[in-house]
Amino acid sequence: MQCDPDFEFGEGNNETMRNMIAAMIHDFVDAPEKPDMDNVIREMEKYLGGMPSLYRSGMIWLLRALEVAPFAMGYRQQYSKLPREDQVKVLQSFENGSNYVQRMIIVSLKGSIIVTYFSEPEMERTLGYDHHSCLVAK
Amino acid sequence: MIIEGKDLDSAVREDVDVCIIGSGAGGATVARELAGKGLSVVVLEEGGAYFTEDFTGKVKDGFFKMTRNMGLDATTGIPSIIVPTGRCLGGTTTVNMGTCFRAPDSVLNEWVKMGLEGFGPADMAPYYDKVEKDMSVQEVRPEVMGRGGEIISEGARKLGLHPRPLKRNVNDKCRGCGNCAYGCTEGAKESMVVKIIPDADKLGAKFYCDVKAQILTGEKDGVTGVHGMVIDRRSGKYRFNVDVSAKVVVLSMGSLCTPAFLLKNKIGNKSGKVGKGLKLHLCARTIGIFEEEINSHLGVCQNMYIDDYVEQGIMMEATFTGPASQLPGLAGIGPDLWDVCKQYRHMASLGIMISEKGQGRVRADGDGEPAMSFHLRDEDAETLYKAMIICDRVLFSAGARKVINGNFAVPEVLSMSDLDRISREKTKPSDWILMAFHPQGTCRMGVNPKKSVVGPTGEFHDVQNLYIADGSVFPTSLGVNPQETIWAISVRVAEAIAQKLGSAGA
Repeated sequence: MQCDPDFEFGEGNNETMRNMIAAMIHDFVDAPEKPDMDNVIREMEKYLGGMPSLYRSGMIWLLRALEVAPFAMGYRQQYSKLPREDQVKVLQSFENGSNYVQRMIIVSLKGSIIVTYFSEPEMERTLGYDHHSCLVAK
Repeated sequence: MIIEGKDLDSAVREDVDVCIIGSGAGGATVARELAGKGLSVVVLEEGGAYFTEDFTGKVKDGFFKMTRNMGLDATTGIPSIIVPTGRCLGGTTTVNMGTCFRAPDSVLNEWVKMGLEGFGPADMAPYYDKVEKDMSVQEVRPEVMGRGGEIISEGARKLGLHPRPLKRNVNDKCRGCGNCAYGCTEGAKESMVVKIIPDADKLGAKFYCDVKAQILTGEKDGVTGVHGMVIDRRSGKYRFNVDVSAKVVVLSMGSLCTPAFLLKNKIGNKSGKVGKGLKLHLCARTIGIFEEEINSHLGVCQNMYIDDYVEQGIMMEATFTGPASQLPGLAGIGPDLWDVCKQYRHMASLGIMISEKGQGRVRADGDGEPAMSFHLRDEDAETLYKAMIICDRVLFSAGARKVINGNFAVPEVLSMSDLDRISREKTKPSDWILMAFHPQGTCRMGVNPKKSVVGPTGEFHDVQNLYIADGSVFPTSLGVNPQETIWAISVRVAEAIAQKLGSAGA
């Protein structure tokens, strides 16, 4: 049950996460400002660090599964070594495939990435969202 | 008095009339009612204490600080369903959207038929009247409704449906910021930390935060107290013991943690029903994308509802949140995902909530934490599909140029005419991306000790001096948002306890 506020991905998982965030959203955001990827990773670590150890381990295993998944799909490199366009294709094949488990892997990873990524102030400004805005003035 | 873990530097011992575990809709209500009758009350809350001045309005902060396991608790089964619940002073009322409904008459009449005399609509009305007055329940005012709710209402009316503004426990301070679910920054949502807990505090109830209840202590047939521990809020690690002796213990940990706690303690389960019968109110989401800027994030985050299909178990509620919680669950990767996300300000969203036929179960894992299982039945998947088609029609009728669904088989629909074809297709459970916000029914109330866990007063059939006051006691699914009924039933439970103990401590 205990969380780990000092949790860090470690080098390998950090690389997988960084590549996945880039392929999932970051590289395709056409906006004048984008979040700093190091910040996003740190926030992901905080997010995962607040979870019970079982959840955290589950997330790490999903990352590891993603890292080796390309071999089963006919690629000759692990996920982080693939060109970005192939990284996108791998994620798309997971999301659009008929395999329920693969789809849920993407739903889980994507959910935690989107929560973190779109909490970054740069993305809030890009989308025109300001949580201080109200309909009725004070 | 509200005492946080950081205020404590040694073990705690208390000897009181009533110990309540959990400070949400049920626990806080019972605490205030009993403190008001002169009884000594201690409340143990596992989460931290956060007040209006602590709320930032940021989605992430709400998840990080105030929800159980970052809001990611999920069922096993197909599909896996995320069931976020609050873990903080005030429980889920701190992080919910404030929507209030009385239980429909049909539901209460069914409870009466099950033998629960005194739960009919006329019997419950005074309790609902009281809590609605206490919590400032009122309809969403037009000036804070927001364009999202307005445009969906217009679309629904064109189809001959009857949209209405929701009622919420919100006072006139509401300015339509849309931050309700991450801790209301205006102090407008009268969650437990804004109204009931301060009232209980003034009446002498003592709230210990960052305290996790572990063991029910007792003698042969009844409980005599609770053993718990103060935990470090940051790491969750043990700090000190907490021991409370009490004449009565009330479990108000919610429909997930109450049964898990009982199963861990191996108590109160002669019926074998503890943890069984989990109802969730399965929720899916439809999002319309419009040419015009809707700016749905401006305005109350849950603002209107359509109940024309409630007899078929379908409720629809317009719901919209900040991007960090609105955008997860969208289909697409890379450029496709960004193409949708960047239209955030052009979105309006209509949520589906069904009263499912299926049931799940809560068990206790190795640490005594709740572990949920739920398998979506085909007939419930069909109800969701039917509701999705209705919502899509409403959104197209409102002028949407595209609708996005939380369904892998039909992730988007481009026109009303496509819906006719799509509506004839079959759906299956694994197609759905679902969430649920109203777990209930895992320790049901009833008159037959073989078929229910607690009696009509909330007291256990098989354990003396132990009560439940939370949504786990609902004998059937409500079909509407439950917090108001939890308050109303908790007032009744408090009355029964006061009667048992005699006011001012027997």
